[in-house]
Amino acid sequence: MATGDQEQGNGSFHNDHVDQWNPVSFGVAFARRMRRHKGVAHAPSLRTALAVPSLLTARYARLRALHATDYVAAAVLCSPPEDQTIADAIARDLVFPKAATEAPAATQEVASAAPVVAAEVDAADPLAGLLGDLADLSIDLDDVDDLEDLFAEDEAQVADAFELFETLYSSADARQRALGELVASFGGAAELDAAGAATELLVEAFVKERLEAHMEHLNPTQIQQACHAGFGGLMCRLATQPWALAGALAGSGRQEALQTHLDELLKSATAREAGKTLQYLMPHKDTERFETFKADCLGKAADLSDHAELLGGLDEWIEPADALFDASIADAPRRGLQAARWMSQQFGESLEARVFQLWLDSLETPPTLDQLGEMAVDCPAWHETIDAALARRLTVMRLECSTAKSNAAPMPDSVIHDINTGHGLSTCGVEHGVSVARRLATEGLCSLWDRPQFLPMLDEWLEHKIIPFDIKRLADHAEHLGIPPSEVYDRIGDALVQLKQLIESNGYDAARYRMLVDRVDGLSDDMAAALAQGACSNNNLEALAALLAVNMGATAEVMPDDQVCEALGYKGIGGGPNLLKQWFTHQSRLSDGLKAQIKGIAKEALIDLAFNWIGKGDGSCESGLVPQSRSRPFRVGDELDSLDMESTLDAIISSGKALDSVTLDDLFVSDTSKGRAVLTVLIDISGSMSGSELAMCAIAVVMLLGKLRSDEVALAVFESNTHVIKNIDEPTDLDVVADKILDLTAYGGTRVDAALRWATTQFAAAHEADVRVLFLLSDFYFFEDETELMKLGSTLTDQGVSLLAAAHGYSDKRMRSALLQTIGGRPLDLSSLERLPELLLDTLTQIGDGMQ
Amino acid sequence: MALDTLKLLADSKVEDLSDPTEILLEGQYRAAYDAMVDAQNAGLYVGLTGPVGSGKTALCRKFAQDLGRPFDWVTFSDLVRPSNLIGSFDPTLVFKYGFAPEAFAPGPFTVSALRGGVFLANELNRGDEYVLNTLLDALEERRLYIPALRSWHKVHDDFYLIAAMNPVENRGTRRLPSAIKDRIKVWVRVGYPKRSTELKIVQKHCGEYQVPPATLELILELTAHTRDDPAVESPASIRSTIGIARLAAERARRLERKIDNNVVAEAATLVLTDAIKMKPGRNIEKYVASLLTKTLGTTG
Repeated sequence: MATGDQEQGNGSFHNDHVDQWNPVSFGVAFARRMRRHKGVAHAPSLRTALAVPSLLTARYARLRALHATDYVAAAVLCSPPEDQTIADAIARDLVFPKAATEAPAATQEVASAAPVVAAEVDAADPLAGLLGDLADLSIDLDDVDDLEDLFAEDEAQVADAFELFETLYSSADARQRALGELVASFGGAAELDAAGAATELLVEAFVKERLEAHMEHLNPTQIQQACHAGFGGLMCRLATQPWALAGALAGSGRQEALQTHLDELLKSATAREAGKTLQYLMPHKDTERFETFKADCLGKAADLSDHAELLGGLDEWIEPADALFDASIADAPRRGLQAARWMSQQFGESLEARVFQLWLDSLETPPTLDQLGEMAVDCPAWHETIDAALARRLTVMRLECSTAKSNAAPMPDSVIHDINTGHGLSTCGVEHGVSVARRLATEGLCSLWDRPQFLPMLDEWLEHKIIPFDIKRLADHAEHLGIPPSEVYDRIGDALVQLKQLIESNGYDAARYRMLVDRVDGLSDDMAAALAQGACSNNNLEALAALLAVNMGATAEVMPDDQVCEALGYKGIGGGPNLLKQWFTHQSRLSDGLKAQIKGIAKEALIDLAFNWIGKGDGSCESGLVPQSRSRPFRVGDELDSLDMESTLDAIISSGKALDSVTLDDLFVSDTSKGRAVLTVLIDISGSMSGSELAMCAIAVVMLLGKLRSDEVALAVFESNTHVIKNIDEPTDLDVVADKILDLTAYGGTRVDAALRWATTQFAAAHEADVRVLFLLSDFYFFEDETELMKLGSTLTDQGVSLLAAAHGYSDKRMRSALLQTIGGRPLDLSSLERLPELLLDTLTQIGDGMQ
Repeated sequence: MALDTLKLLADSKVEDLSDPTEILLEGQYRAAYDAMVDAQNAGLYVGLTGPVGSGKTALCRKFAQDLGRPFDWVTFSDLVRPSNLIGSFDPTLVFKYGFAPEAFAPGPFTVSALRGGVFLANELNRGDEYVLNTLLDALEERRLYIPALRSWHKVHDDFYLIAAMNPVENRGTRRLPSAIKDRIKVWVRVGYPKRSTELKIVQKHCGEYQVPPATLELILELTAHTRDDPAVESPASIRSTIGIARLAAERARRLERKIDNNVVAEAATLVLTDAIKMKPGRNIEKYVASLLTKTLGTTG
């Protein structure tokens, strides 16, 4: 039994005012509870179990007394900073059993599991008693399993997290109910159970931890609930975005601070920020302050884009004032039209035709085809105007070409420009635009009188996926120039005719099918269905494979599902990139069962294709992008072991020095530092992207993720929404990535702000990166206000990010230059998206070379 | 006249490295100090975490000074290599002695470990994992391997390590490797001190100036606002408070004016504009101007 004033018979110290614990039993119980808590960043080790009683003993030696607060303090101090909140809650739970539901049972259990036998204590060495206690625990320190046994707890004694959740969720008390609702939004009772939060105190710690971790992504309701649950102060402190701060201030009733914040926002915020702020104030929409702020914001809107941003936040249709139309038409009609289009999608209120008409009325001269391509609206006025513009262009074109013909002059630049115009029209989203583009192609080619230029120009149009309207006329014109018409048919229509004949004659020639499939650009639904029915009845898998490769949607609709899977890629007909192209073009037309099966096949094809690229270029998913070993000049403190003899001798020989006059400047060492790069990739997949372009993006994305270490790459694609493929802190699983990518469809407009904001969070999460690169592939026709994008650009600049701004085809060069000027970096131009994997490989090489 | 470097170095040499400015052991500093004492008595290494300029380093100096042991430190960054801690051969001496102990220049960690000093690993979480791992043997096994000499050395019984670091959210910091984290067993958080403590600290650092207490209160009010305002990401440190007080006092002395609110506002504008960091989307100049108007009634 204990002697003197140091230790009592139960293992506690004299003047230890905590009845139910002694330092050792508390240390073990605390470590056990911490280990069971899934929310802790570092599960306590054996050392922690020992550290708590050690610290308590030292404290006792200094103060000659221990109180409950000392136990709690010791538990907190012996936990790493990120776990101290949980440690505090658990320690309080143990020490103040009134707040806990299972503490008494746990106490008894620990007491019986760890009977503490008093030892003779050397008064000069307060640790002796503790060590004695530990010895009596019969813990074999070489066999941690013994301690694991101590940590194992009878689950039956733990309060049911599900019941606790139900109690909170249905509580009449507003604070408890808010807590329950937050738990529900963070995974519900199952998550609570997994985290081992079995008391209200631990639930609070659980919720607090989740709030801190997800602050950037909390929605307005969650912020309001957090304020109701007593986390208002925390929300105000953690909020980094002005709208989240407004929600937190409103929720926590800090009216004065809220007013100041809103006043400042009114002065300096962009419409986007104001719209988001309105969204976060929506839970408080019945207040006068909300109404005033809403009215002020609407009154401050400068044009239709601003108005659209505000409506986005309010989620309510409010008719825009006439002045807003006028302002948009005067300053940025294209952006105004995009805003009108967005409002039409969101609220079903069509404004596009009105915007178009106002724009048309504002012009002093009739619009060009290029302008009309940018201001495309599917309305009679646009159809009429573009037809007139085409007629004007054709008149000028004929004049130019006849002049060129009579003077034997080279082809005028405007003919080449027409191809770009045609591309713009064919991708403007209005069917009539495609028809105009095809007519322009026909007329352009038929106006050419220079024989050597005819076929290259035809190829150029076809390269842009524009098939001239009148092929017969084109063939006649070619013949007139001395070019065999078959050259025209071969390029445009002949492959299709050949394929049709081969299928109708029930032909078997896999090589020929493969060749024709590559040359056929498209097949009408009716023809595909008719041919597929014939091939089905003949069970000609080669023909069916060819049909699936050129129009999967229509062909699959008339075939049994089993036969589709059997025929898909049969004998290599239409596999690989073509399968992906068909998948992205036709996936919406496939039945659910078939869709799942084809997706599986497409996934394998995607990963195979990506792996073809993974073996090329720099970077590996194991060693990281930035080389880990480089030669650099010696500096004081370097070890001689790290001398790079080759570089050093080179330097000495090239300087012509004798060995005895070598100085430190002549020495080189291998630098063993491990550099880390972070590459965040954003790819724009908005409306105009075709199936084959999406397929190339998919291959490039999987390639990139397969090449890089998972902590070096983050990736998202965006249109109106941002789809995160991989966050920087997530492990890379190519199967999961491929699944996500194959579900993408090109849709909607181009909103880059959320994507850029996401990129900033990715760079912020990578503190230790040496090189930070943002790769942005887009046409840069963004919906948002330029000022706001520049603000986001400045944030990226602050993070030391370099921008690689890649574009293909038509792009808004002004916006791209502005972003590059703000962030810093350089432009990259892609002639076609097929070069994307290659371009990304080049990018990796540049990063590996230390691009800043 | 040529610069006599040797004389310059000899004249400026400091023999006594103890900190002449005594830290105020009250409030959170007292609690932290006590925790450090307990940890040291229990044989547990301690880690101090807290924002920039909250007094962590000063606390460590005080602790080492009170223990009466030699104090060595290294401030970690990406550039610190194992040899900066352990030591390395002096290449020029190697030509004379070969790879012998005579040519070896021990690093501060080796010196501290072998002679039983207190070693401060300042900004520990800015160091590379590869470098931090070189500390492990000395902390756990109480013996130190010096790779250059290919020999093990016993760590002195009195050797003690303290780590100080900024929160992991701060730029440039990394997550500590779990092996190191597991060796540091006591974690003390140091925040900004209470108003009364900070007032005493500022007074101590403004000894040569006669700054009226009411003015110091206003300056403290200014910096306290930055710590409470949710719009501020990185608030003003104690150094900023001292900076404003000293700059205002010096400016008033030069201009032969009394330290009024205008002088304080001018000094505060100069100090705070670079000392604090706002959350995204907030303008620092506007914020400082509004803070000065609210607290001092003028922007200077």
